[in-house]
Amino acid sequence: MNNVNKYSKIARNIAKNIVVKPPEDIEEKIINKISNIDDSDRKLLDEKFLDYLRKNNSRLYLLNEKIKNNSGKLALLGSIVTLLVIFLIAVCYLSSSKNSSDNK
Amino acid sequence: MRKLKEKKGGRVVDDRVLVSKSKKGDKVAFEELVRRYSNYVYTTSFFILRNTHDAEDASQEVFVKVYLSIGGFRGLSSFKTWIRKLTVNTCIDKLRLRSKTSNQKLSLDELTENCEVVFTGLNRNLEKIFLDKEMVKKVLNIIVSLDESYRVPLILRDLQDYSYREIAELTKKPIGTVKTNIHRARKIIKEKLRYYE
Repeated sequence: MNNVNKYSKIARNIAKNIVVKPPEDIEEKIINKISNIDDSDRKLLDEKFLDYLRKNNSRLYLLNEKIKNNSGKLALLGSIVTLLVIFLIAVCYLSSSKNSSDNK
Repeated sequence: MRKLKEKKGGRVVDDRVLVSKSKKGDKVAFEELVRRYSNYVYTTSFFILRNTHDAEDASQEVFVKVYLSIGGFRGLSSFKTWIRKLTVNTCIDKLRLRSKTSNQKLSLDELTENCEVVFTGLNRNLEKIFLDKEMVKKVLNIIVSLDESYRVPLILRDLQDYSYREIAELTKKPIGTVKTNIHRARKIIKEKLRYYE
């Protein structure tokens, strides 16, 4: 079972770099298509597509998406930073109280 | 024909340069983008749509959209990210249209006949660990033969690196359902692989 788990995971990783060979003339077909754009093609730019384009041209939207997609990592980072700050404050407090007791 | 693939030093021209030239109406630059990304767009479309004809249609549609709208692309994300999202959106729209009319069932043999897999940029270490490329093909065939509710989220998550939230939004399903379906899809793959062993 361990092997199967390993195979499955590695295979899914390798699959990211796999190309399914398209028909040989696909590039030419696409280039021909864009050379002969008609009204029906222009209709592909519907409201939904334009909305997608608008969103992808907005820094705020993209930043918001990045935050939402990495909320777990951000929460972890926040916790680490908070713990670090608490630790530093505690160290400072302890060293200052030690200094003051030494002075006494 | 003017070639943009390589500069004098043999360096590959950056996508940003090609996009910028395409925005100014340079058709040769756009054709180079087509050459560079047609395989990628076709592969993504094929995995989602499971049909060579539909994948070809989707690829043409994606590039027409890109061609008509490239002037409005500000380049805040990479061109590859942009075209990847566009391809996935186009394919999911096509799936929605198709599922209203029919639910395609394909056998593994049919898929293997239609799908010629080429390994690109294979990491050497991974190759050492995983010598049997046939196993990868088996995994791919299992993935492509999965039901739509399992296949699409799994492809988006494992092959396209989408977040669970993005997949839920795209497929219009609750995030919990998406996670469960991906978990089940992985389990099915493991079970079928165990059967092959």
